[in-house]
Amino acid sequence: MEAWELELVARAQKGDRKAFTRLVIEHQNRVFSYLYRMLGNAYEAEEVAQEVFIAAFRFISGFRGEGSLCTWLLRIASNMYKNRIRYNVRRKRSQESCIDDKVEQPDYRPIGERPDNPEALVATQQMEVALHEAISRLPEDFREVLVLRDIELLSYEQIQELTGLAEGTVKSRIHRARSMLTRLMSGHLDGEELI
Amino acid sequence: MAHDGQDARPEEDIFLAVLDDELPPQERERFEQDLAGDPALKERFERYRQTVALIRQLGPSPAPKSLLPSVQRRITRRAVQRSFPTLRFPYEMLVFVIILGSLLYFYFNMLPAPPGPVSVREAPVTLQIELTAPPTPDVVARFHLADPGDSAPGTVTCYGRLERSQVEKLLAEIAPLLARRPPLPLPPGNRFGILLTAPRP
Repeated sequence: MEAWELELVARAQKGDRKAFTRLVIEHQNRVFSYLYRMLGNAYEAEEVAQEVFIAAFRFISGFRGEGSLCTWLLRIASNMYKNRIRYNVRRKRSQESCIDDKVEQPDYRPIGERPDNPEALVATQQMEVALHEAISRLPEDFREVLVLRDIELLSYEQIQELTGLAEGTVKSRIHRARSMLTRLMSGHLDGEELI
Repeated sequence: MAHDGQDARPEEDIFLAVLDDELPPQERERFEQDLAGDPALKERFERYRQTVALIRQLGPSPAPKSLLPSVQRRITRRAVQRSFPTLRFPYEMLVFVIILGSLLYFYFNMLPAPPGPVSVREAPVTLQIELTAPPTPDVVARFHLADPGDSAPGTVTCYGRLERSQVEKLLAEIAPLLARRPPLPLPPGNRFGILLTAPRP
């Protein structure tokens, strides 16, 4: 952790809300992005991200600065995500009797810079949608490490710290997730890239 | 990807190491030779590399603008709640008020009141007694009788609240003035509202 972040954390631990706001600004994209890729739904990801920061505000006094704040926040996000999934499963079960079975499509949210050329824009969007859907179809354990490594660009050590898994397991899961994704994206992989 | 006389390294490790740029130069060279000699491996690796490149291009998704204000709002609300933890309904206070109110009600309504001028309506039994002349000021004073102030024209009215024994004494004193005898014996009860009416002299 850098000095400025340590200082903000120390101030936030004393109840300085402005310092905490700075920390939220600093980490909101990473937390939201992780939740969005894990949940596959932007609205739900925003809701859970709020819960993550509220929990962080409550428990920041217990943060000792041994790991990075980002990893600490992502660990909270991971726990909140698991709680949300359990809640969604319970809710789905209770609604099963009155709602027809339908496959929930992940909600796609365009990101990053968009190409000016309309054809390229359409192709990029199609590729993003396909990739987003393919990621959401990965098993949860594999999806998590893939998102942390290839989207959040965390190091293996950070992923180990966050998930509590051994290095070999982390690497193996990442490889298997990438391989599954390669298979899922086989129809789209013809040398094309997003932009 | 086993090589004669060399340790075999799983494909998984090699793919990860290549993409993480962590493969030692010697192994890298050997891997490139493998790729050149094995079109199936080359295709597998190319697709794998392409997938990783695609995911990384996807990149982190920016948080919606509404996230920060929502978090700030909730933190402020939480801080207010922590500053004023008793903002919830004060049940303890309500119980205290109910008990105090009950005690006061009991004190003012259930205990025997001292004799004195009170509203006729407060007396449990009211005796309306007609006199031929107003009672003397001495009687009025001794029996704490009072004028309600709303006497009918041409009439003097006095009232009071008396114990049974006092009513008996009063009746004895005003006996010469009685226009009509009150009901005898007196109705049951220990406390009476007395209403004396007489023509104004």
